[in-house]
Amino acid sequence: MNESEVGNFLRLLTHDLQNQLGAVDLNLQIIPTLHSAEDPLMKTLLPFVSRASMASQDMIETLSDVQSFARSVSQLDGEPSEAPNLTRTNLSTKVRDCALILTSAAKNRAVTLLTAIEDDIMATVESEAVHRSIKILANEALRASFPDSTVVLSAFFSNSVPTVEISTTQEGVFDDHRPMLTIYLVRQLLELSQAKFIFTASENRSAIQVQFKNV
Amino acid sequence: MSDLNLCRNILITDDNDGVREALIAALSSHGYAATGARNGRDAIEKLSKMPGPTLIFLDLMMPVLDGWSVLEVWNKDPAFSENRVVTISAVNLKSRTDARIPRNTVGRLQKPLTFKSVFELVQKYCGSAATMTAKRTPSTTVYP
Repeated sequence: MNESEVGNFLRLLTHDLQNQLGAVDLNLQIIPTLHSAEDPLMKTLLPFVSRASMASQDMIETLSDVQSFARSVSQLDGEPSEAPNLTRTNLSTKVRDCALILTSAAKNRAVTLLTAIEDDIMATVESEAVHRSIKILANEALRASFPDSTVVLSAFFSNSVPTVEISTTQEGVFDDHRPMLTIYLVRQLLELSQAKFIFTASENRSAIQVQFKNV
Repeated sequence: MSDLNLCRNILITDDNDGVREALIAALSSHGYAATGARNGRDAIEKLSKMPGPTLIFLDLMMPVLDGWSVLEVWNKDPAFSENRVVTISAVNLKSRTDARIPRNTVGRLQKPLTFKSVFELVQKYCGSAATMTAKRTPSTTVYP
């Protein structure tokens, strides 16, 4: 198979997998409405099935993201090299937009989504790449956080450095020592924006800070 | 909606067996008359035999005959207008400027479906299950 055929195959596979998991999810919503769902064992086991289904859907979304990224990179091969498209970007707006997009996802997962955004945190970056990266990281925090956790999306100056931070009260979510597909993807996306990553972990908190150049 | 305009049947058109059969089973258990079609051609055939009006949930991407083609066929038939169509798609059609928007539909659902979103539309266009049963049961007048 050539590259284009592989790409098409992966897109179809992703679509079909999402369809099947959608059916699983729908059945999981319907089952508790039936009388047999009163069975205590059923009540205990159904949430596990539901979480496994949600986790599988999340992995498929990541696979889809990686596949899209790989396709866009390979499309650049052979083209005359151009200067990266860096523009003066309002990170506060990017973070705010991301929070709006993810509000219902957070509600579905029973995770509290908060923002701590200072106004007009500006940086010179690849705007679309930053938008995707913030969404990927925030999504990762939501996926990995148990119900009743709190995820905070922040934008601020840290010693005059424009910074975006995603944190969660769920421990162990962001860990530089653990291979993570999402972190790999975000590093690739933000390479041209010369972003720096800082991981912090403490009891009841896991966070990733992305610092940009203030040019 | 007045009782006269409420739908008497529900047709779930989706090539995904898991989705289609789950919705039929769930709606039937709530007292609604629901049936399924596995592709566009099946939907056209089934609808032609159903006493209307019918609430149709129509997946846009299906093999054999897709939802767009089915809508084209149905929209050419003046008698079809008594039915109500809710389309189901994998993408948010509102957010895509290049997306075709289905004509003459009453709603759009995005995958993955939630039972709540389906049930709310069923209650809106079919009324309660008791109302639906009354519409389907011919009234009998007994004369002394």
